[in-house]
Amino acid sequence: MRPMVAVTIILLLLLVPAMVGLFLTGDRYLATTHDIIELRVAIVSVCPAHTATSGYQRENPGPDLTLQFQGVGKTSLTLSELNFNLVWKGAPIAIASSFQTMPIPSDQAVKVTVETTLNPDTAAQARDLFTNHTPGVNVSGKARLLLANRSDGVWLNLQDTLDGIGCTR
Amino acid sequence: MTRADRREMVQSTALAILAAIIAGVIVGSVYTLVARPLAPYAPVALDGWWLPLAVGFCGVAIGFGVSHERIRLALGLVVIVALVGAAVFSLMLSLPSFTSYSTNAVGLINYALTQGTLCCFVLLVIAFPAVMVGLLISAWWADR
Repeated sequence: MRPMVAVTIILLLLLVPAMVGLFLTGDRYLATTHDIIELRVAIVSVCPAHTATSGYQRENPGPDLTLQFQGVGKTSLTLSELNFNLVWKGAPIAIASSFQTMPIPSDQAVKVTVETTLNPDTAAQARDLFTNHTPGVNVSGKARLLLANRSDGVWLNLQDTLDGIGCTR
Repeated sequence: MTRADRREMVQSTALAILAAIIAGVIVGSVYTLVARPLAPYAPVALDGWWLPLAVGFCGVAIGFGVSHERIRLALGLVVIVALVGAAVFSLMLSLPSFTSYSTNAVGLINYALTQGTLCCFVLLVIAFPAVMVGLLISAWWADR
């Protein structure tokens, strides 16, 4: 009986740090989940592509999109990747892929500008659509957020429309 | 067996079950801290080796505490440790499904149950040999 009493006392002492770790993990898990649910992503600006006069020239440049991330409450989320298509009548007319490390601070909005590239097959049609601000162009894709400790992060679905959004550069 | 012997046996069994439940919560907590689904939220980034260390220690302690004279009880306690540990981990993983902002409670609970099963087997695999070691130490201690 005596060894079992000693073992139980030792385990009881170890239970204290275990419960602290469990509580802190649960608290941060819930706060992060809440922040991810509450995070709002909006397209706030659609500007014509920069045309560089010299040096690197993009082939089939599409419009530059500025996305705004806001709604993070307590946790620290970091935007690490953006992948989306601009879709017109179900067909992708431009793509965007951007890797970056952009922390999203609590209770603040973060803006990220992403260059898009027109699909070569429909580039002429897409240029007309963007020049005339034709409604019906949608954004469909994903954004990856990194969490505090090591992780592969979580993917958010991006679904929005460019209707009625102008250039505010 | 006298009534006093029987009473002591019941008491020691109850104490052993209590110790196994406590050990289960400890190993479940450590699994929560190091397992892939929850490690990103842990207060400290623990190395994966903490899990075999903690489970091994708890297993050896229980094996030693129960003593080599009650091997069947010791082996039964291993199952309790693994089940309680898996329950703690599953509960932690499914926490958001109990909140008002839960979006896919059923999916999350299914995921938690799957991960909990994996956790249970992992804990069993580590804890069984650890308890055996504890029983061997107990036998050696008695023969000393």
